[in-house]
Amino acid sequence: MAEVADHELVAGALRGSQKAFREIVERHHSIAYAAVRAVLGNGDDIEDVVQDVFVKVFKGLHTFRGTSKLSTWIYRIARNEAINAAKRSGPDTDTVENLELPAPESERPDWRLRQVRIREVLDAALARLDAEERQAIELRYLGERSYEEIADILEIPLGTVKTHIHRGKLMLREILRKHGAMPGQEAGEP
Amino acid sequence: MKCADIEHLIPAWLENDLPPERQSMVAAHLEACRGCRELAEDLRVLETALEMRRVEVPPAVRTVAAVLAHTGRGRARAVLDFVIGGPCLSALSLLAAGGMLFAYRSGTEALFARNFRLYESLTLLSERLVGALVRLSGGDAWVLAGIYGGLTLLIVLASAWTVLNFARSRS
Repeated sequence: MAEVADHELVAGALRGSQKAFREIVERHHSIAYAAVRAVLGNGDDIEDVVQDVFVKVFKGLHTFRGTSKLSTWIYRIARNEAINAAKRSGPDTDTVENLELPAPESERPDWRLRQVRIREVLDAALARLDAEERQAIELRYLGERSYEEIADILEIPLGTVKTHIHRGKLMLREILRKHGAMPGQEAGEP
Repeated sequence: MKCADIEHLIPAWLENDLPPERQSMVAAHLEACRGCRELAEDLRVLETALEMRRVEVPPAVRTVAAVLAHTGRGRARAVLDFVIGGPCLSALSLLAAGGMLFAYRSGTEALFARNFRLYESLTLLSERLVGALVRLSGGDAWVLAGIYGGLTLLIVLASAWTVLNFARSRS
């Protein structure tokens, strides 16, 4: 079955169709999550902020003009909500800029702990990237978007998206190596 | 080629996204250069680690339930907005406003010079309406004036509101 176009979903949701609105959320949920994550890091309130995003989407759907893609519109709402949430929380919260890299471990922990640690160090390392690189990487991996979709969402050229992501990954590797936190890196290994 | 020239190509090489001659060139360099080979391996591991972060994304169904609960009667409100902002109610309210004006009947006879039967029907309807209002007022002129005024104001405001809503929904 052909996928329903975004403008048809918007029209349906405006007519009161819960099914259409549900489809809008499911289709763009990961984009919103990635956008919020890129600003707030791994805070506990990410899911709440994402819900606030879609409440705003629900209430503001009648203002969507179709001049940009729906994914871009939702992405902008998500990013603004995340920035506002960070401002409301104050400077001492766990925004992405405040994350610190965990100290390297002297012993090799078991597999499950290693997975948790890898996620922790990645979050902190991502915080060190430029905002554009971090946004692009989060949309790629958390948002599960293709390069072309990311270019559409961020309204930047495809080549720029690839540059952000490639450069971001090289930077991540360098940061993780420097802190002895590269997955697979032995303790003390450069 | 030097490592400094190759390193920034490795992410694209891993995705097979380079032109064929460059893919071969990078591959050849990696065979000969241990440092760049380790970089490529690190990027592969990093790719897996980044993909594993997807498990933390909660299911969309939770967000949908929370949003619909938060917005309460979202569906009912949307239906109401559609009805209020729709063309039918705008047209009906304009008709009602016109009918109210007609009920005052000052100089309206000439408008129906060609269709006397229609004029008769509207006149009869208007007389019945007036009769009902007079009965409602108990014959008190002030009460009747108040009812007339209130109804007129209500219909004019409702017409303006529905027309504006319709215009807004189409803009």
